[in-house]
Amino acid sequence: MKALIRLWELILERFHLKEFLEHPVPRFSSLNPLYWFGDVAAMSFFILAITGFALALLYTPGLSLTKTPPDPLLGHNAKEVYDATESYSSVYKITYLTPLGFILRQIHLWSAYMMIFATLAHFFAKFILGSYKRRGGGALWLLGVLLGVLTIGQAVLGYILPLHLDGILAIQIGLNLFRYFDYFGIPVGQLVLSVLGSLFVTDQVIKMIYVLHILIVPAIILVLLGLKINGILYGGVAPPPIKDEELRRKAMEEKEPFYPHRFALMVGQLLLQLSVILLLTAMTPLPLLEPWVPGQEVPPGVRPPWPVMWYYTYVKMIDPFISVGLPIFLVLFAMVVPLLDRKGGISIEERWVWVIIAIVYIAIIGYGTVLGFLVDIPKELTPLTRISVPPDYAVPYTGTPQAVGP
Amino acid sequence: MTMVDEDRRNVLKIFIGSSVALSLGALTTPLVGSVINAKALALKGEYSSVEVVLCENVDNCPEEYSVPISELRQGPKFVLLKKGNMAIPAVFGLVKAADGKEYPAAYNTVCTHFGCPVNPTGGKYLTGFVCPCHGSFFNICNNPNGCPENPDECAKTPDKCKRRPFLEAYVTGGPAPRSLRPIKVVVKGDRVYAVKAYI
Repeated sequence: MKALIRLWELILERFHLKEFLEHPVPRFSSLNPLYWFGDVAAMSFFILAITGFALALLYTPGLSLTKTPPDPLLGHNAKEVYDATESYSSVYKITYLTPLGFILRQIHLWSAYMMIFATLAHFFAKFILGSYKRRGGGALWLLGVLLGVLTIGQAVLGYILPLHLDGILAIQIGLNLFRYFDYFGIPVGQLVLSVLGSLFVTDQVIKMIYVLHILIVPAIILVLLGLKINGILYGGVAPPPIKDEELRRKAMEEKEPFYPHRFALMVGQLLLQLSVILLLTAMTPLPLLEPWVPGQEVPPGVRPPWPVMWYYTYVKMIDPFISVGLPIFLVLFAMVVPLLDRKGGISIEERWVWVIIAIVYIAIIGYGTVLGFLVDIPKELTPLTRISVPPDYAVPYTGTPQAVGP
Repeated sequence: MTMVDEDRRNVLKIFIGSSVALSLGALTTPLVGSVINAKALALKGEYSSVEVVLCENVDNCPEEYSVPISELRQGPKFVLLKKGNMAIPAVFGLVKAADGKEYPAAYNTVCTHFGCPVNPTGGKYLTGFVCPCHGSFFNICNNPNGCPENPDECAKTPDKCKRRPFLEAYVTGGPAPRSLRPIKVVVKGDRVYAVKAYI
């Protein structure tokens, strides 16, 4: 026992872990919930990495047609067999025919939703706190915005992989969405075509999405996350948004070591997070959506999952020439916020304009999300006039029509 | 003495910096070049759509790009046109024209709004398409003299009337900004061949 303790102390000393574990953390930041969401998102990422590793071993990307047995949860006749893609079949096998596969996939899905939710909550919390105003905060803010974009991107890529009906629609929309730039003379369609080889889903496209989802995007997220944690470790957390400078200084100076104070909180938070994920899995399991193969009729009323529901609402309500760029505008504006909000103090009453802008961000995303779930948006609900397309951008019917038969 | 050291350090910095830059360039240029197919980039078709020639000549066009007319008489038919790594979803169908004749036609079923696969409408004959995602409606012009885009306006001012050409699948409702991309078809024998597609 003594030898073990000696070994542990040696490890702590030789790897300089003592400096890390005992680095001082302001006490208020451990107690304020606005400072927790980043941890939740980061922890979700590691849960996703672990479950994702197991899922990647069992998943096969591919579009070739196979037969899939029916979904037992939906109570189909056991003799019924569907045509489905290879991807769908492998996810079907993971979900319903592999021991613990269902729960594995559920944990992956719910952690993904939790990561997105925590990312959004973290973004709004830091926006309202004005944490980019401290020294080094702007760089951390920029990393955070990039990480947020990558998180949503990862979610969309992962949503595509099972190639269920909604996944195919997601990839089709992803491949064609940015072709709106074609109208302004930027050949996005040709670029997508030259990189992926097709504007309709093929084996090649699915393989590319698989590699992006399991390797490239997580690697970028990991590097950026490392930079961000490093920045917080050496730069400190954001000061509290109070006007009284004396009070603020006092709050920042009242410190406690990371281990065991904050560490215990983080372990508690991780356990709570895991239990919430398991509870969601038990209460609201997300079934594998219906299969689809090219050429099958798509049923109307298909809706995207909640993280992109607000975008769906706006592109359906507003002229696409305006609404397609909405997320790009929101992200670009978020990136330059630290450059615009420079003057004045960091307290909420001094930054009220920026607090309102943060609330506008929440309102845009929240309103669109709720509206998308509540109402079936009619196509007449277009508050902005349609921008007419230059006539030569519409391909006329080519070739000389030939009549057949009688 | 210190001056010399500073110089040496700067020279070393320039050497290391430029060799890193050069090696990165040497590594990434072929990598980017191999990923981006410059030919496809240069293949800029008209109307911001990319033109894909499936068959130069109908006589040696493979059967996989064709549908028998007898099958089209049963209703519209979906064919996934494959060329190399490319897949083009196409719906072939017969359009009953206003002059009473039947015309075979084919369309790329990727919605021009957001790229969802569109569903054909009409029973035996192809009359149009509807997009399940955001509710765009496409109507196939069945008048050989062209179809008025806005019939009410055309009744008032016939000379200013904008007309859609025969067999064009133009937008009649919903958010789609332009007509469905067409596929050029040629009839040979008892089959309809797709020879050129726009994607």
